[in-house]
Amino acid sequence: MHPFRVRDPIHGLIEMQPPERAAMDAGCMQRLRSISQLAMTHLVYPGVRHSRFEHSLGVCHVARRLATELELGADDAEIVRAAALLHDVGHGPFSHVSEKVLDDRAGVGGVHEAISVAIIRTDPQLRAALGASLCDAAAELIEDGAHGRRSVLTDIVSGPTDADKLDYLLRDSYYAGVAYGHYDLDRLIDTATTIRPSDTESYLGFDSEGVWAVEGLLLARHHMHRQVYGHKTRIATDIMIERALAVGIDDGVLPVAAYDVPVVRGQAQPDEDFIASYLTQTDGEVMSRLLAQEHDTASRELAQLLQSRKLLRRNARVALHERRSELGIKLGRLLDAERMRTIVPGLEAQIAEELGCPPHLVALLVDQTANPTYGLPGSEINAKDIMLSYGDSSMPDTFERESEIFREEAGPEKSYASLYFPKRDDIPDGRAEELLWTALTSI
Amino acid sequence: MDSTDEHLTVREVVLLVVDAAGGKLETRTTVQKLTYFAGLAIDENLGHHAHYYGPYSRPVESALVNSAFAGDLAESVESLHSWSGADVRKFNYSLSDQGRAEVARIRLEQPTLSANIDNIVERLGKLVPGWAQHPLSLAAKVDYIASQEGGEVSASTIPGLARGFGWNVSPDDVEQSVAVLVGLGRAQAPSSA
Repeated sequence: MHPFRVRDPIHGLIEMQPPERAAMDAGCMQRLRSISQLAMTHLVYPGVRHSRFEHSLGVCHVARRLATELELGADDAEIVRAAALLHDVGHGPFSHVSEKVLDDRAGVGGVHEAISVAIIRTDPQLRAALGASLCDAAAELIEDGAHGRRSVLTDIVSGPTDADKLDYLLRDSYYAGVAYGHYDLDRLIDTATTIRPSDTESYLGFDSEGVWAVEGLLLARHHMHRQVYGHKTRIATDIMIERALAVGIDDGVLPVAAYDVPVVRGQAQPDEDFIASYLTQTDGEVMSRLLAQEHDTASRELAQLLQSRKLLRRNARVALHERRSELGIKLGRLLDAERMRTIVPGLEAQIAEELGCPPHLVALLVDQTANPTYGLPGSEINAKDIMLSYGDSSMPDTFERESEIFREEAGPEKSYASLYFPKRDDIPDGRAEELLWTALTSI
Repeated sequence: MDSTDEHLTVREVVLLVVDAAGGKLETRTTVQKLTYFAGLAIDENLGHHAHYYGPYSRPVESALVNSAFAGDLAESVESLHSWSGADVRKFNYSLSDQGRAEVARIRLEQPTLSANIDNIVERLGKLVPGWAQHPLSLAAKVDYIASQEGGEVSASTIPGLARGFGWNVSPDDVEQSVAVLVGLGRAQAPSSA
């Protein structure tokens, strides 16, 4: 049978093998057409209407190109492509926004990855399309990547320069209409190589002359995070969706069975009933249910505000890293996300009372802007290290040692606290900052 | 205060573990493994899961980075030579005066859990002198494997089970680790027969 070709605005013609084409038609994959790639980012960047579906095809395409460049064996290449195609099959409504809700409800992390793996291991349509053994191998590869077990194969699917990032940066920037996410994909793939420090270790790395292409990729990623993913109004949409989801589940408007993943020995273990319920949930389904409520609830109000683009505004922001001396011992407490989760609702309620508005429309957020030059180094090669090869004469080394602009001396990150609430014309200048600072220093 | 009323955040556990180890600890891996056992001692899930280097918790990693950022821990970096001849970095941590003040607050508010952490860190220090990274990691791996198997596992099956997690654990490693876990009361001594 001939390969199937799909037109894609990012990569041109994407070639899919017949089993991959059949997998695309599985219900769980078609559902991804109804899961937006970047939640409600279209309320800020109107062109951002793409879904997890076309991203999955793009990741499969990039994985195929990497597999070809690295001259992987036919079996390995097939596994990598399948894992790339299916890696997002477990995404919930509004993509990453529902991840936090799922993790919070389960009390454990990595729930959506566990859901992806469970779907790949059990979905009859996927298994009929690709074959059970290929599905199992793809699931294992995704699981290995999630657990930090690095190899050249896991690096292609979920590593520091994986096919996922190589696709979403180009795709998201294209639809957002910004130039930030561009980098030289062709050059990057052209310089891709397998680095084998020992018989048991392998990594996806790059020839040393590819250092500029890697720099371009990291800059693209950094700029996209700062300008698009971290846009203050986009963050407001995430806050509102997350709250609407959480309240909607608590109130029974959204099915609890679709959001409470079974947990066994501290690990998410989605079962058949959970997956069946979970797969009914899409962006449209969630919004329909929230908006159809007869009574005036917090979740309906949030959904209505999103629908009419009456968004929360960031009215104040404090750079915590610039006020270390004033905050002193309180800075560590403010950065203790777990502790803050229990404190913040009370602070938000106090601020809401001061402002005379409902607490669900006030959000106090402490966030950190990651420094792209700063990894999380361990005693050996760690999960974020990108490796460069210098040919046969020298040993491979980490990218940061070679790059002139991505040195590793810089500090890890900056930290901010922000206060969001609806637009108000009656608040005097400086009042929002005062409310935020009072809250921060009261802990 | 009843200990059931007490709760420690991941950050608080990290600070208490460093304090219990005398105010300083070498390597992030050691902190990861000590917090793994500390979590068991206080019956709290600190987010450890099977990672390439053994049980690893992203929340613990974040808490370390944030504590250094906030000035509760002083972070120093040593450059070492790795397998490849390339420089790799070793991160060491010590409590600052500000960190000690925060630990004092935590101890006052959470006395029972703080004492449990002191106890486990002290016992581990006796079983693994200097809280050496390698034996500590092996003990954490063996304990993690046993817990994932529901607690019932024989020593001879552990190397095979470890491969399932991507870990190389030899029979000698198991013997060494079981001795540590027996000392902690988390395993039974193998019968001499």
